[in-house]
Amino acid sequence: MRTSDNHEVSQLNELKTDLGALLFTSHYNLAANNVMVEQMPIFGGFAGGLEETTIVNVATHLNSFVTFGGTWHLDGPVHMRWGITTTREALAIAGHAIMAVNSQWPILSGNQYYTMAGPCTVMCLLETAAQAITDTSSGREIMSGVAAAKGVITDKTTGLEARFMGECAHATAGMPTEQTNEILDALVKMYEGDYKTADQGKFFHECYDTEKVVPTDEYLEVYDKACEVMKGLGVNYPTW
Amino acid sequence: MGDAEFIQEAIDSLVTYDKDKAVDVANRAIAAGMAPDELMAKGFVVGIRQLGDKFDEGEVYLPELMLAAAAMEAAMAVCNAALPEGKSEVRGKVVIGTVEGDVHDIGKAIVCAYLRANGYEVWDLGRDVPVEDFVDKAEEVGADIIGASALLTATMRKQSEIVAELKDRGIRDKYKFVVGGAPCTQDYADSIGADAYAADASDGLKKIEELIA
Repeated sequence: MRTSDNHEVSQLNELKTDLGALLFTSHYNLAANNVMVEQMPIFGGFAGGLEETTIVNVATHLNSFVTFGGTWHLDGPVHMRWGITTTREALAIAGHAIMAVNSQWPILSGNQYYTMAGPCTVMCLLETAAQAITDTSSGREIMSGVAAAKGVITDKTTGLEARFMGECAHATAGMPTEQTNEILDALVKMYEGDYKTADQGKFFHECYDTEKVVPTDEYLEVYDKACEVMKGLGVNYPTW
Repeated sequence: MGDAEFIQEAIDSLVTYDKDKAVDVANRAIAAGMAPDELMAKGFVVGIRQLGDKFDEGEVYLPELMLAAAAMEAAMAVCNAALPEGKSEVRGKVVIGTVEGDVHDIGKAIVCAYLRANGYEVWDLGRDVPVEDFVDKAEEVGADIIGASALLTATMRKQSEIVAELKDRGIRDKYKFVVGGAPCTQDYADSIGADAYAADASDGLKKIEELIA
């Protein structure tokens, strides 16, 4: 590993730790590593609903630095029923929590991306866009994505989802919150009724020419469709 | 107060996850001569299922579900104590845990709450549970079901090791084995020889009911 790389340790739900995590933490701190402390508070879980989980989310940020001596915090509020970070509730928690954190503490925080739909689907890209816009608008410093198809199917993730994440973030950087809220409301409505039937998408080798490592024409067409949807919502990126 | 009123009170006590109220209505109903199994079936079970529906719809969350499970257990204890010897309403015995190397357990916690709330006796082994412990506990308590949860693709192979352990001990057919967790699928469950795959807690309850029936 490089000295700039991060070493991860995770908290447990909610606001718990165990000896294993403390051993990790001790080792990382003794080795002067960059320590990334990760936690994904669960909406509908032990904390309860929106407000409670948001409060827990703020507390997990504090916990990363106070208990674990973290260098930065990696967030990821997740919906208990769907297991993704792109639901309306998860986005609301993430956005509010980081705005609260940023108002008080000069710490670095990232957010994890877990979409319901898989690679090579418009839905996956729209979910990604919604979170990228939320994270950018609410002041998140680092975006860590995308774990498409909930991140549980081997080889169902590609660089194009991450590219879209970045382009949407750049496209909305500096937009007033009132404007991004309107965009998000319309955008989330486009996919939130489809969680049960979401397409799990394609494997990496079906999305890319693996010899040249370039996306297939099919995926590029899907990408273009997603770009058109975003332009219709008032989000534009120079290369779209 | 008649049976219908007791039944409605029992339903209400679970829907409002009020343990004290559940115990109180159980005691009063039984003292008034109501059949405890009828009170369970028409009152408490109906109430917990209504709350389970609310949980599935996102109207209540895990804390409420766990409170309701505690209320149900308390009510069941009162009702079972009033039943004739050997007529306990325990519907089945379940040993469940998160597999070794994995510490994700919220899904399992929900399954335990659902099962207890629906009359199953549950031994929750916790997290990071070695393969042998699942089988040892099942043997110790005479379980009907062994449930194993895994959230990581790296740990899900432990579920197949539980099947192997059961076969090695010559007791594979003694238990029904259910798997769950985010990386699991029906295909995966079939490939490792599990008896059922539970997509979520409601599905887990349904599958266990089918396996025990």
